[in-house]
Amino acid sequence: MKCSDFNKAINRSADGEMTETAHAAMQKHAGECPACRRRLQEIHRLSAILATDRAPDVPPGFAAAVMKRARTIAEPQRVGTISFLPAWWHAMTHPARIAAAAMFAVSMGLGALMGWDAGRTRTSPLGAVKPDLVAQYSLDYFEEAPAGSLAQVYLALAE
Amino acid sequence: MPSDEESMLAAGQGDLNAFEGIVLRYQKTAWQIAYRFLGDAAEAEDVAQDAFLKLLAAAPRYRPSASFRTFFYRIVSRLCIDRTRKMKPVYLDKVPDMPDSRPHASDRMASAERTAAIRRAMDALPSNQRMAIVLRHYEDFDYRSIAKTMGITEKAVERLLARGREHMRQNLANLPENTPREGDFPC
Repeated sequence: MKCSDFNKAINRSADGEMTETAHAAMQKHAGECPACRRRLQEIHRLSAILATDRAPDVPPGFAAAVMKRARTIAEPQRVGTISFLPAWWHAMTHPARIAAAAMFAVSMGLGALMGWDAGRTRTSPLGAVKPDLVAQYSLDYFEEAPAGSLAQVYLALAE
Repeated sequence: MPSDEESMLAAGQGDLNAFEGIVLRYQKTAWQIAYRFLGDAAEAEDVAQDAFLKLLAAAPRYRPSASFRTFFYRIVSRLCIDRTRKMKPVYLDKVPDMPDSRPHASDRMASAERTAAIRRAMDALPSNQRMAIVLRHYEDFDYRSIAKTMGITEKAVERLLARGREHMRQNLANLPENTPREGDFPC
């Protein structure tokens, strides 16, 4: 084995990610080559250093804190599921929900646009030709009628 | 006891007791990965909690085709790497200023210095290399598991470990060792 081949495979060898045959060949080369042996030892040295580095224990109450947050999040979802959204909605995949919501939004938008357009064409001509009912029915005749009389009510309606 | 996959499916149906079982089984690993990677207890706790909540949110979509462990560790790993983009490095340089007269005080100081040196060396690594080192050296993952957790190939894992170890070797070259002697290794 060449040193270059050894160096390419040195990490796999140190990590036990090799077949026994390949590992044996690596060991043989390391036994014969001091420089390669030193490189392999450096990896083992690092493993030994890190093995002495202990992590603190999980903080007390960690699981309880997670569950508290989990319940806070889960409860409103459950209420929403029962109260507002049908079961088929929850059975849908996420992309399907997005597609359905987009189709709904587009439908609502189109409907609103069509309704607004239809309303505009219906109301504007009427506004333009609003008749003068007072003149048409000669209601100015009632203008001198006493306040509160039925004639005054006709006038008020016509105006 | 139900398997992790069964618990996850139950959690997806709203069974919080099943989810609690997962939390109890995996809290130590999640916390340790986050702590080893971030080097800060408060940040690690925050990330580990967020990982479980993300897991709960993903539970309704979970399909047991993938290993639960891989699925969960991938969440933890991503959150850790994301967190490093938002935080400043924290060093554990809390060696006491005054001499400690208690028994074994010098041992404790040496240990604290050692821990701080390892932390600095870890913090100096790019996040992908650091995560590969954490999963390999502290959690004893094999290449395949690291690759799945990090969403990369085994060859990429090998490269990350090689580079990470080289950086660590340089940064820890002067660390006083409890390290094995030459004859301790089989080569």
